[in-house]
Amino acid sequence: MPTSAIEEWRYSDIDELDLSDYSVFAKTGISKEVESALAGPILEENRNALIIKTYNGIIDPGFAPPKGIILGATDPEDISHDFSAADVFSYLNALLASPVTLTIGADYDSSRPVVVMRYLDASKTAVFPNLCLKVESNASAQVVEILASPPESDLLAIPVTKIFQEADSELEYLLVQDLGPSCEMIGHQASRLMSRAKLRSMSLVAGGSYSRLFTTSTIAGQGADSNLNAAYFGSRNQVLDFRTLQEHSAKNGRSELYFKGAGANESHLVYSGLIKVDKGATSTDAFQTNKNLVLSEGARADSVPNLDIQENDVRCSHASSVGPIDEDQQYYLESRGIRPEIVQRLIVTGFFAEMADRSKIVGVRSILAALAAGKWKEFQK
Amino acid sequence: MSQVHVLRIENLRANVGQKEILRGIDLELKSGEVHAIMGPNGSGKSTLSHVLMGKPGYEVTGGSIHLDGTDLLSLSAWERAQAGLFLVSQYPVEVPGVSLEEALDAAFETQSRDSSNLHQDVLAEANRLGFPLELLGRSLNVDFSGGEKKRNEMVQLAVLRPRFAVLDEIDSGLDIDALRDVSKRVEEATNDDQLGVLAITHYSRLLKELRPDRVHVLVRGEIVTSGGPELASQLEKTGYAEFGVEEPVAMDGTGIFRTSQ
Repeated sequence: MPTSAIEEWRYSDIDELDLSDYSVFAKTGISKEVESALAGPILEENRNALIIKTYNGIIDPGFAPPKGIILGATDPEDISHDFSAADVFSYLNALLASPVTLTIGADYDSSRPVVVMRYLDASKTAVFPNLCLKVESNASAQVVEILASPPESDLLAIPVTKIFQEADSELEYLLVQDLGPSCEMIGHQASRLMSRAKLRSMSLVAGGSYSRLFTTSTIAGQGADSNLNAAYFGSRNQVLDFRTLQEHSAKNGRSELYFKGAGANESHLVYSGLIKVDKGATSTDAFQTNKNLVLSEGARADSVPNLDIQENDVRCSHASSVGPIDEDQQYYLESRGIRPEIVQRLIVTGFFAEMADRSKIVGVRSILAALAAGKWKEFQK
Repeated sequence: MSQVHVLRIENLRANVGQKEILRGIDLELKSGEVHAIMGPNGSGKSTLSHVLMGKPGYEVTGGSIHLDGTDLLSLSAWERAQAGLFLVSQYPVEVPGVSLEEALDAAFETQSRDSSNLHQDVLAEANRLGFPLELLGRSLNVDFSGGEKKRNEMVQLAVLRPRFAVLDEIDSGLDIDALRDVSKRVEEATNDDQLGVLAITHYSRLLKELRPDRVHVLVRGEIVTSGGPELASQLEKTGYAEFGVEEPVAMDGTGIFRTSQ
């Protein structure tokens, strides 16, 4: 707190201002965060995590950033122009959000994961979570973002996450979307990687009635490496919709995308992705895989991979699959004496467990298991 | 003395699509016995193994399969496994995200068997069979070599302890060391647990490791002749020619097939 002894506060009554007389205009009672089943493993298995709580998009005013992290309310100036609004929703977010900006420096203790708990419980209201992560040169960090709401909530979430990685930085990022079943979400996550920066991201999507996530990653500096993963499990009549863009605008870059979904009941999975290699982005490696497991007659999955290659010296591939549980896998496990419904549960759980090797964040394996088990139960109802 | 179990196949006929592949098979296998079924390509060897295990897509048009008093044809694959039958697959299937121990645990769960010693049993068998321990926690068969896949099948067999095992071309894709280890474990199971074995193979080399009590020759869906182990040696010399099929029975040391006489 300033005092009147400081020149610019001189002559004022600032000493008499007692902040404890006032509360901030936003409820910050986020003890309910534990209601998010999927957040549990992250919090349990990362006891040393730096937890940043936000409530309906407003940051907990009690948060004091530790050494190596700068907390801001606007995007760092040098990067704001790099992220233009992708559509009307991200534009609205830009207008209406209260941004949380974290600049992570090389002196941050990278063994301490940063967990941004975004708890939303507004009713029939649109909320605009906004997170901007800047990872400075040579810095290394793990960031987990959890979007959670109580089961009865019926809000519209329009989250935007922007990741800017300076040269030689490394980031492990995890998004956990565990919104209530009546919520809707239209989200964006955009990353921009400078030279030799490495990103590995994992998005786990469970909740909402309609959930759309638009993921873009730009290889903006030579030799950058972007690894994008997602796992999602649709049940009820959920629509889980994923759009991706891997854009290579610098040489020697690498991007690898692996999105995996399972659809049960009357759910609908959508994947549409594009690899775009700009002129000049030579020696690019870019891969894109989308796999869908369709578990019920009423469920469906659309998968549309695309390539737009403007350069010759590149290695690119895309693969997609949509289908029921593999009959050979089913028979193989049944021939070991396992009851068919247990076989199905094993195969579906395994389908997701396989993703755990694609993130280094502790707790991912447990979350994937919880996601598969919870959804499986819902499916079997 | 443990109880003697009997696997009895009588006049078994089966179609794949419209085509009759098995045309009346008769065979009786008892606990502790090793029977070999040898036959050229397309004789119905793999069809027999899948029909025994109950793989969907095969239509049984006649005959019966009984394990002791149980009519296996009325059961689905998992129930046949519970009744005591095990199939060592020719091509073990990759199951991403499911480990050996998880699968065995699920099998024990289905059968309400006590799994408290499962982990130790799996470790002991993996060691005994030369199956790399670091693969135990990995996805079943994913990125396993040919030898690792078959050793993995054998770990499952050894832990599940079935009454009868069908080995479907267990020698395919195996080097001689792996073949020896796998055969040794099968033989031990026939001695220690009185496992009955039906070894299905094209080539005679398996039968040098796994000495069969009986050899049956399967040609065009029928057992055309049966005999003692000497039948395998005889076939090695003549190939399947006397049954009207020009295919060799032995492979030379380099793994290249010898041409038949």
